[in-house]
This record gives sequence, C-alpha cells and structure tokens, in this order.
Amino acid sequence: MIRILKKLFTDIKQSRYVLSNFINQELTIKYKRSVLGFFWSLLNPMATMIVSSVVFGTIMRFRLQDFVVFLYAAMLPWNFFGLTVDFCGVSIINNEGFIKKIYLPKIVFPLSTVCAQFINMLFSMVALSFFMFILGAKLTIALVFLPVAFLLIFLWTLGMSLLVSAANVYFRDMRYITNVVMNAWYYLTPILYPIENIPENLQIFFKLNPGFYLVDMFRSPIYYGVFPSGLNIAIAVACAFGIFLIGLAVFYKHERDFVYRL
Amino acid sequence: MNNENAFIEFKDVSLRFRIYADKGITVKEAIVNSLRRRRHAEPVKEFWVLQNLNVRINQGDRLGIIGNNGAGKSTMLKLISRIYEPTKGTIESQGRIVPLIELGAGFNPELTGRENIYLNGAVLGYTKDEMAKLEKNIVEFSGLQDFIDVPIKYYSTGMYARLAFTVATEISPEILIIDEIFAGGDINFVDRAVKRINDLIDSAKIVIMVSHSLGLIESMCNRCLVIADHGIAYDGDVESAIRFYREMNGKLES
Repeated sequence: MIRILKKLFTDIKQSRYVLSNFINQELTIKYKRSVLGFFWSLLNPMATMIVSSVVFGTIMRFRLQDFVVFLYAAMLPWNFFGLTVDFCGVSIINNEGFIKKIYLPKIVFPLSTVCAQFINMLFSMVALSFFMFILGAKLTIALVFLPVAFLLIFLWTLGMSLLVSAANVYFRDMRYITNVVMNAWYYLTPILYPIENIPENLQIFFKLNPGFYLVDMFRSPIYYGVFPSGLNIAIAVACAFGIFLIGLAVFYKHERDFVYRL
Repeated sequence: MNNENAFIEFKDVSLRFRIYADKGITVKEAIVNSLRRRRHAEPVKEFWVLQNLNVRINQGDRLGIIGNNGAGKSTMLKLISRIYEPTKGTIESQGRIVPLIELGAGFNPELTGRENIYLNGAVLGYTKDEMAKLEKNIVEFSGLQDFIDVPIKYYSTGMYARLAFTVATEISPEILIIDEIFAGGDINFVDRAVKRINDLIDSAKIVIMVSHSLGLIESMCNRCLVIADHGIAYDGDVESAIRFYREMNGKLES
C-alpha cells in the first residue's frame, strides 16, 4: 500500500507540468470562443438552479423548504462523481495517441479529468452559496466540515474513475454498462428525496449504499446545518479511502499492459 | 541541464508482445467464458520481440541501430523512451530523453500553435518558464508568426510538421532518439531542418538513431548495433557493423 502511494506521489511530481496543462485544457477548451469564457462555469450552474427553483417552488409546490438547496447540496457532488466516472471511462482509450508515442505516467489521463471536474464542482458550489445567500440561509459552524466532505468525494471519485478507466481498456462495452449503473445509482441514492421518504423497512437497503453516506457529508452541513453523525463519517471515510486504494492498486497493476491492448 | 554523465543501460532485457486478434472482449463474453470455464478463450498470440539484451550506451555515443524489418529496432527505441516496459530485466538511464519518433505527439488540434508549444513542452517535462524562454525562437524558426495564435486544426500538414519539428528540436535533449530522418515542409525549411538536426546531434550527450539508410548511419554514428534474431547480433564500430549486416543478409539470400 505504501508502495503504490509512493508511486502515485512520484508520478504526480514527475508529471506536474503536463497535469496542470491537461487540467487547464479541460477547463478552458469547453468555453473557447464563447464571449464569457470561463465565467460560464459559474453562470451555468446558477442559471440551472434558478430554473429549478422556479419549477420546484412555484409549479410543483414541493413540501420541502428551500428544495433547491436541499437538492443541489447533494446533487452537485454526486453529479461530479457520475460525470467524472463517465468521462474517465474513455480517458485511456482516447489518449491512445499519447500512450503509444510518448511516455507519460498513465494516471495523468484520468487524474486530470478528475481534477478538472472537481474544480468545476467547486465553481458550482460557489454558485450554490450565492444562491443560499440570496435565500437568506444562515451560516452554521457545521460548514467547516465541508473540506473533509470534498476530500472524501474526491478520493471516492478518483478511485472509481481509475477502476473504470482501466476496465474500459479490457472490456470496450464497459462504457455502456457504467452509464446504466450510474444512472440507476443516482436514483437509488437519496438525492432527489430525503431518506425519510423511503418506507422504514426498506431504509436499511438504502443504507447499504455508500452513496448515502457520501451525500450526507454534504447535505448535513449545507442543508440541515449540522455535522454528519460520527457513524456516517466513519462509513464515508472507509468507503472513500477503500475505493481510492483499490482503484489505485488495480490501475497500477495493469497500466503496463495498456499499451498492448489499445 | 545537469552535468552528470548520461547513460542508458539494458540489463537482461526481454520484451514479450501480446497480440490480441480481436480488440478486447466484452464483459458479456468474459462472463460467459468464465461460466463455461474456458479461461483461454481469448485469441492471444504471444512472441518474444527481444530477448536478453545487455548493452550500455555511454555519454558521447552516437549509436546507430540497423537490422531487417521487424527485427525490433523501433521496439528498442520504444523501450528506451519507456513506452514499453520490459517484460523481464531492467533499463536504467540518466538524462532527459527526447524521442524524435513521433513529431507532434500530443498536439491538441483545438489549441493554438502557441498553446501547443507549452503543451508539448509540458509533455516532455519542461516548465512554463523554461518554455517561455524558447517560445520566441520556436515561433521564429518555424516561420509561423502569422498563424501562431490560430488553432492548429486550421494548419496545413506542412505547417503542422514545421511546428512539431521546431518544438521537438528547440528543447535541447540530453538523449536524442531518432527513428528515420523525416522531411516536412518546403525545400527552404528542409535545408534549415537538416542543419538544425546536425546541431542537435552535436550538442546531445547521447544520440540513438534507427535508419535503413546505411550511408546516413555511416556519416553520423560512431557506434552501431545490428539487431537480428531477437537480440544484438553485433555491437561495434560502424564500418564493421555494416559489413556484418551485409554478410548476414547475403547469407540469408543464398
């Protein structure tokens, strides 16, 4: 375990310039030749939130107060996870040109996508906090927990992305499978609804889902204004670190073989 | 650039290739196969490209590699530039390696010429500051002043090649790897390019070159390897290596 972490460290150190270049590319290419450029990263989520607050608040008349804050507190981190895993599925395959022509630590490809998407999520979070400010949400001490929550979702997503990007090299239909799985996972995780809406005897099944705990790391401090329970934190930490280490180990075990499989 | 002596050392290096007849299997097939307990249902062909290579390339070497098609010359270059990792054995090296194998590897068509200069530099391990010092020369030599801020997807093939060549040759590598000398651009550019390559070869600590042109190897190298039968058949001065190579092929023909 120490060996793979050490390798991760040297890989990142060795490729830090190319990593930052890739991240920069992923963040800016999307908005190239648009007038507002990078500002869209902030504007886009805000516009979406305004639209959905109108829809949920005035048209559908949801019971939950401040449904938008409730929703986005959980949805932004989970969407980061879902989108990133989807993108990373093809990160090794799409960079065949690099991998066959020049040496770079392979982890650069998924890692740069994860980092770029993570930065995007942070922007959306800033947009969300503006929104909360407008709605008059009160600041609570529980918000200091958020850096931990961000770290956990980052490690969790990185681990999953490494697994998926490696698996895709071997099984080309993986991409479609991940797509379906991520979609189902999204609805099975209490994001659009609070877990209390699930019949009590079924709640236990929903609590087998690591997603529940990871989402809770964000929703408790942002929406409920309380720290997540100790048990939930412990489970989320275990899942995030576990997947991170498994993903890293699997990726490093197979990376030498990628070049022959592409 | 540090002043340590550059070197590359192959220790008992072997490389096995696996060729997959069909690109990848699907998850479905994998599951079906495992249910049927047919573990080797995958169509795989394995063969050793290179076996038990032992060679040390030292500072000052201008190494030519010759051999028949498919002997493993380019594979050896790819081992040196770490695209392939040896199946067995180790390769140690000291010095920054720049492969002139694939020009423009890693150019992003959406980015402008200038941005690609930095990207390419980063891929080869150069910082932004280091590249900033070289930028002016690169733009000037490539003659792309008017197009440098245009996305390179709008470049002609020649412009693309010029930029790629200039970036690759502006950064001064300690270990230079060349797979067949290439030509891109108009006559005017090719002349300058040849001179530039010669300068680069003079300044690099180690040059490794693969070519089928024996004349080129003769004029540029001071040491030569002949690759045959998955290994190094001859290692020595250029003249006798070429003689060995000719005789080897003569025997094969008769």
